[in-house]
Amino acid sequence: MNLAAPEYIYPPIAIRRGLQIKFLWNRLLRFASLSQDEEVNSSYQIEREFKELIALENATISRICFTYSSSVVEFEDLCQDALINIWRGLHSFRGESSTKTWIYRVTVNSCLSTIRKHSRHQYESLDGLYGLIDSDDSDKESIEQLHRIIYTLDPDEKAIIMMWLDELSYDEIGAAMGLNRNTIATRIRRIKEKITKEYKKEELK
Amino acid sequence: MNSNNMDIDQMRKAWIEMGKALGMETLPDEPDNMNKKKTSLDRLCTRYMRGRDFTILATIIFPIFFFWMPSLGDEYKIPVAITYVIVMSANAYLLNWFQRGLGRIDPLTMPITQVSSMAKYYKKCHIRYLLFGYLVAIPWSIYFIYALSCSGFRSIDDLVFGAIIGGICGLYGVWKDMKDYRNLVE
Repeated sequence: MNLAAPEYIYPPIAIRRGLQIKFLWNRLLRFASLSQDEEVNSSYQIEREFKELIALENATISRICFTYSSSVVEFEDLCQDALINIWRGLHSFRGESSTKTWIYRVTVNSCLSTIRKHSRHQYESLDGLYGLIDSDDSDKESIEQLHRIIYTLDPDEKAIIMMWLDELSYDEIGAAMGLNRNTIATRIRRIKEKITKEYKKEELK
Repeated sequence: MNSNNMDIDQMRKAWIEMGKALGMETLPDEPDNMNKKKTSLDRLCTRYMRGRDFTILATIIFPIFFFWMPSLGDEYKIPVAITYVIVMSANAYLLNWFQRGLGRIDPLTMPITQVSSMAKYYKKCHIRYLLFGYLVAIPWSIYFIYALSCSGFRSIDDLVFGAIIGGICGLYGVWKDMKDYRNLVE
């Protein structure tokens, strides 16, 4: 009885190695081309989303930066920083909060974290900044008045009142601020009282 | 309509107008350029990091010069070098602390109140650091001049003149920083 193992016919070793290399090479090429395509598609998509988002929320970003500015240079810097941060954060934004709330959080945080010496611009007249307002005289006057009043509030109060003016809900404001609904309601009431007083003072002038 | 509602209506109207009047000022660059750009916070962190590296380098190099200085008496060389190393090491530590602390601020994920309190805290610390820096640097410079004068350094008049000019610049800096600090506290 022949117990010898059956003889299989293998292709020669060189051909086997060649086939393996070819297979691996093809896999590698496929992987490279796929990942490259995916990456390109994804980056185009993010670019498109970024442009759409900025076109949509341009006014909101400008308003926030304007409210935190005391000069034209500062306004431009704050806008630039906000756009950079929005661009950086867009990759990780998963839509857990509304886009507007997210824009508020990133832009206000970006304005607040601009830590630098303001000695050169801080004491500059606000007239230069108000020169940016492209509007009718009556509207311009009311915008200037609003800016002057909001400018006297502290940074957190500014953020809250801006979101409230933009008709965000208490829950949305609370989520952006990291505070609960009741605290937001109380703070809004106090800020409104402050603003009303300031308005009355302005009108007396 | 009571005056309160009127104020709020006025405010909302002005708020909407503000967006319309400013809207087109913030058109972004091409996204490719956005990747290369740095925010003011990034630049500040880089400045602190460079300051720390320069301070570490200066802490190592300058004591060697003190020992080589022929005009500095032997009995003053060691105290001058030791006080210098202590002051500069503290400075490097503080700059590193600032850089790490500011690096923790994340405008993308942190809530606004947290960023606001951190920013305010580091601003205050920075101004205190500057004021404290002047308070340490001025006595050390006076001690250094005293050490040189006791060692019979000849052009002591020039040194005193330089110190007066430096002192005036320093006092101007203190005045400016105090002004910033007062504004921040208010």
